[in-house]
Amino acid sequence: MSVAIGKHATDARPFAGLDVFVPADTRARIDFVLGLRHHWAHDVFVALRDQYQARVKAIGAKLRTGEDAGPIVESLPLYPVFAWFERNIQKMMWRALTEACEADREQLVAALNKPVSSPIGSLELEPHLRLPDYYANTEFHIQPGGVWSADINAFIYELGAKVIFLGKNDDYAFHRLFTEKGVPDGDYRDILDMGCGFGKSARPFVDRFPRARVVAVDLSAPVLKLAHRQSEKLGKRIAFYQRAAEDTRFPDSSFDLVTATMVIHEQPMPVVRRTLAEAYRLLRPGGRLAILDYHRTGDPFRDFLMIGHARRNNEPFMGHILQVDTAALAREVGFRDTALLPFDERGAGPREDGTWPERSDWHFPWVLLRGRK
Amino acid sequence: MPDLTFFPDPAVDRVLGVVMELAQEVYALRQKLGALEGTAGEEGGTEARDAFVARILVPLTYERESPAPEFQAP
Repeated sequence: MSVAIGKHATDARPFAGLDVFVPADTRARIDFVLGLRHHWAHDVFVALRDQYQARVKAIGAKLRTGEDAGPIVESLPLYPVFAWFERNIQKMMWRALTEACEADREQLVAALNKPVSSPIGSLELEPHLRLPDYYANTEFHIQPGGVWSADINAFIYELGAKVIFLGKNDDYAFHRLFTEKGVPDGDYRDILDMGCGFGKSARPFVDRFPRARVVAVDLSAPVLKLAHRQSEKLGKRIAFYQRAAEDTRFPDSSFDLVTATMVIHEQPMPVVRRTLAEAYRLLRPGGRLAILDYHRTGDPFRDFLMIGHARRNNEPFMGHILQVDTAALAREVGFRDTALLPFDERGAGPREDGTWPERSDWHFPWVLLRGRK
Repeated sequence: MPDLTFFPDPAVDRVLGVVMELAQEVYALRQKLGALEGTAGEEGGTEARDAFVARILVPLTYERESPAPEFQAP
């Protein structure tokens, strides 16, 4: 059970290997949005940077931070174009993805709620869980209704997660890379993935550490139901729980590895601190922490655009995570051997020398936070 | 609540939204026409799509007029 976009929109057949039909018109609209995003990430971004570099050179500006670069970037002729497309491509994308999933809404929702027969993993939902205000009141990534307010939103979000990577993450190679290169070797018995979404970040741990018990938590019931179904379909044994990363209620010292991928930038800073403290509490002595998220790069141009991305993409707490040294935060709650390393999602993974990958296109400033209890 | 705007005149934000919606529909219609005429591109190809998008956006991206990439109708 899944929805996916095709490579090409002219084909009237359903997508290969899928049990859901997406109308050809809708697929064409999604395809167009992908084309817009590709052009924005490459051509528009590169042209904006050219304008920025020319302006900085012309006025002899000495810039150190994203905030320093702000007035210059905002004065560039192309900046409104860049900013408009960044936000509105995202909005067009959600409209097209919603259209795609709504076409089979009844079938998808019914399948999502059908009990899994003879599961190898488990799913524990909390129907009365009160979602934190910071989560319930924010439409992260501009997704209408967020990922929690309706079952269909889980499918829309899953499809969006593929689109955002321009089709390069269809098999979630990004998460496999994090699992294989972001986490040190070890004989882990119990692994916890915080904020697992629809399971794409948790499943690779089953493959890399087949003897470990893999547990995953998220606040959203719809994505957890999807995560459970997909994991069972793929034969990945995972125990899913509807719980907050900052308050998992698992016993002290019950895990050897705690991970979180693309989670803490969606939390207010006090909650980030509580999440790190929770990870520390849950780990056994010597246990490992591995968190993949964003950080400022030291390139004033990119850092300013990332600060703006937070506003344009409805990420109200991302600005804080870009400002703070999360490794220092981890040390404050007790972690040792901490490191904050740029992470190259094209295959190299964490860059031990601390340098950022050379790339000409727009891309997220991924960073790996490592620590040990 | 009004959405974010980015141009000095917010009317430009709205007009650009209209233009992109129309462009999206033109693309979808071209794809459908290509399928009906049996001239649709190969599965997996993105070159025609990217050329279509570039043809629309190049005038916005560069201050001086730039030649658009070669565009091949599907």
